[in-house]
Amino acid sequence: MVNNAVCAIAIGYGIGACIALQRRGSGREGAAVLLLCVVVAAYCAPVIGKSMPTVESAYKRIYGPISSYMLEKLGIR
Amino acid sequence: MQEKVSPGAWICLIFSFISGFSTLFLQEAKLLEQDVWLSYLCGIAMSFGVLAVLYLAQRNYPGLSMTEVFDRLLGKQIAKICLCLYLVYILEIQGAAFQALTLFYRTVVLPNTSSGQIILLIALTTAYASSLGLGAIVRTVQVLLCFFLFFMLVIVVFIYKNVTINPFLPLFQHRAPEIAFGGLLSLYFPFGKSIVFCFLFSRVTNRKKLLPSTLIALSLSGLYLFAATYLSFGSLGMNLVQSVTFPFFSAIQLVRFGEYLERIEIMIIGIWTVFTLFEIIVLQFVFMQVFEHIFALKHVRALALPVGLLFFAMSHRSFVHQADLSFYNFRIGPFSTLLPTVVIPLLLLLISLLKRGNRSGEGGPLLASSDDARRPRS
Amino acid sequence: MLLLCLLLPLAASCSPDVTEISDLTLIMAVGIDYDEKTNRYTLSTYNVMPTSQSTERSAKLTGWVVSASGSSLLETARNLRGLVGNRMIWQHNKFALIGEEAARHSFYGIMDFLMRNRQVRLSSYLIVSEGKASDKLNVRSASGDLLSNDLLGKVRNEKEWGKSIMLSIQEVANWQPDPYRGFVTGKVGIASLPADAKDELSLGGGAVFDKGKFKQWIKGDDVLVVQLLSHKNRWRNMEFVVSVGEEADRATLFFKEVGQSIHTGFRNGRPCVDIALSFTATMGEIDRSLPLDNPAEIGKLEQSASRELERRIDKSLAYFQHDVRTDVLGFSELFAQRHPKHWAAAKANWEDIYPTMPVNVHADVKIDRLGMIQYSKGQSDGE
Repeated sequence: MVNNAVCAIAIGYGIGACIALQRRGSGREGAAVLLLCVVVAAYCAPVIGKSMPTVESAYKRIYGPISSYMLEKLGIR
Repeated sequence: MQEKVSPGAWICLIFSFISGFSTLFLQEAKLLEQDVWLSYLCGIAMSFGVLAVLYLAQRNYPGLSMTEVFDRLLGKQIAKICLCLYLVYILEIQGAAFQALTLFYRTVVLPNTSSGQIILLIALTTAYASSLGLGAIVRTVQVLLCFFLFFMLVIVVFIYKNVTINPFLPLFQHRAPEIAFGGLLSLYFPFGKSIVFCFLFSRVTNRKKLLPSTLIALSLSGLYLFAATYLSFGSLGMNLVQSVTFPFFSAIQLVRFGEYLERIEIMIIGIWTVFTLFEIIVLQFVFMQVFEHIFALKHVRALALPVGLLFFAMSHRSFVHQADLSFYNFRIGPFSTLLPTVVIPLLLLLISLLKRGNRSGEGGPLLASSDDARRPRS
Repeated sequence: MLLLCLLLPLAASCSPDVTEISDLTLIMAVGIDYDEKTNRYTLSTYNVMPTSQSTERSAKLTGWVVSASGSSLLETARNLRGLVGNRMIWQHNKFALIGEEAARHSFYGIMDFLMRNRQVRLSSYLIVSEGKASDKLNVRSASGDLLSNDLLGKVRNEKEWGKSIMLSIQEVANWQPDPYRGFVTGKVGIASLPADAKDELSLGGGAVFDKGKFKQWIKGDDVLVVQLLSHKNRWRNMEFVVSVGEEADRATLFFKEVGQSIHTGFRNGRPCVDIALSFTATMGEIDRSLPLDNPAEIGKLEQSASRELERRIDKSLAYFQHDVRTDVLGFSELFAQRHPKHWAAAKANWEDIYPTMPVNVHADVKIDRLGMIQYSKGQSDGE
């Protein structure tokens, strides 16, 4: 429920803030806010959110083998 | 106009940033036991070294912020990529911080409250705080630090009464690779996080005192962590520290005033939570500053809520299980931290030395650097 | 601002963890029993309702006991919910009474339950009960006070007696996994008061644990030695009484330990321990008139007291080494800390080394006070 609420808020705020900032002449800021809000909405969305990559999952894939190798070499459990 | 920070306030800010979470898990203490002080020394030395390296790289460009120095040294496109890596680094650290705080609250205080609610509350609070600006953050830190130090001093005195052994004997019982890895753990968490302060170097009023102030802050944080470890081991015992999830908190639980006045840890949790929030607030603030530079934005206040919600979203999807956090902190974090905290700063130093060498070879280093200094910052 | 406010109902202040004080039942003591034949636990709790009234009213609080059983401790604890009309909280629990059978056969599970539960405080005391723990919770103290208060008072009296010992869950949890040392915690039983034949809970003696399980009981005199050779926090404020001399020539003194030095070493590759203890003493009672104004007499008494204490400590140490065969005093920890290399070689054979390890004790007593009287004038004239 929290995720759904944040998703909805993010979409609403993103669109609203983008339009408001565009009118004020801050087009770049509006686009940046919209970009962030879209990313937030994607992560909080009901189905696709769970499969979105996170820093944790990405780094586990990249550094996992390096870590296992190094810890084995160092003899640390 | 950007608010400036005095060297004294700088010390308070770095101390609060590092010390909030540093005593939560004591992971390197569980690995190295009585030799953990060596890893703390390594962590402090490496963190200070990295910050000194970045200071030296920036010194050739007085008047420019660190993000602008990145542009000068690496070129705009590569600088953007490197700065994006720092954004990812901040997302990594804040994700772990959010989940650690949530885990603590759900284990100790609020077991029936969902993690989403707690993370959202933290995100909204820190988003608001980071939008107030560095001056407000620093002033709040300075006010609250007095209370924090007072309560901690009282707690330390009372925990010390329960200490029955010298936990740092016998010395040097661990192998060099273990101590080296412990140093790496300390670099990842908590000392290496101070790398984000390189993006605030330009905010310090007295540049000459910046490095000494940084060293003082890191040393004081190390001293506080050392004291917490000593008290945890000494009052709980070596075996029990290995078992408990939050060793220092469990040591605080043993404090009793007289026979009936217990549960002092409730007060400590309150003030400790505020200090953990300072880390997240500073991370959010720096994230917004770097984001602003990457996308060439003029105003960042509008970003406060979206960045807060981004932190919420990333944290909520990360470290879903308690074991994920322990696994990441022990196995992945020490290696993932090397790129932003060691490799990129060394690269910057190398390039700045090479550029300086080239300029001196061409016969006009001083002229070039003063031209750079006169160019206005965006 | 409006959007922020819309998000706030989801915030943690609407947490389901909020509880009103009037909905609470405080667990003040818990008793855990285990039946090895049926593999079932019995959990009994001594409960009190919290009061917001004055302290006068709170003296009239009554406690009541509920029990439930189950196949695991957590299940058993939850089964209690059907018997209590309020929400049970453990934060005020001061005592965990473990039945003898539970301590022998299921101590690991009990400790795991106590430590993993966020509400159980590590500073609670852990006592082993002779027989069943649930029986002890049903004993009403002669003073009419709450059982937990009565037990707490008896724990406080430890400082004036020394023949009972109380370990907290933290201390037990720290020593329990140690393969080289054991520990002694409290023993609770039931004593009948002669005057009106009423039962009373009695704390005295100790329960020895070795390798994470209850091993055997020991007497109060041996518990006193454990106290004297423990960390300073244990004996610093303790005063105990020992009689010196033979019948009709006996003096009973109050002793306070003021100094302790436990020196560990390796002689010819074998570990050895030298203990030096210092005491101050106050005259408590003598069976016959003595010229206590004579320093030589005081000196003789001090020497007798020193020898008596050394004899008692030696006797208990020999008992721990040869009969109990458990390092209850933690000498292995001292060796590990002070002589890591020698200890690394010796620890594999610690079970064989400990019973034959030489332990030398020296006690030094100084009588610094004689009490409210020095000597009877008539008798001294007669002398």
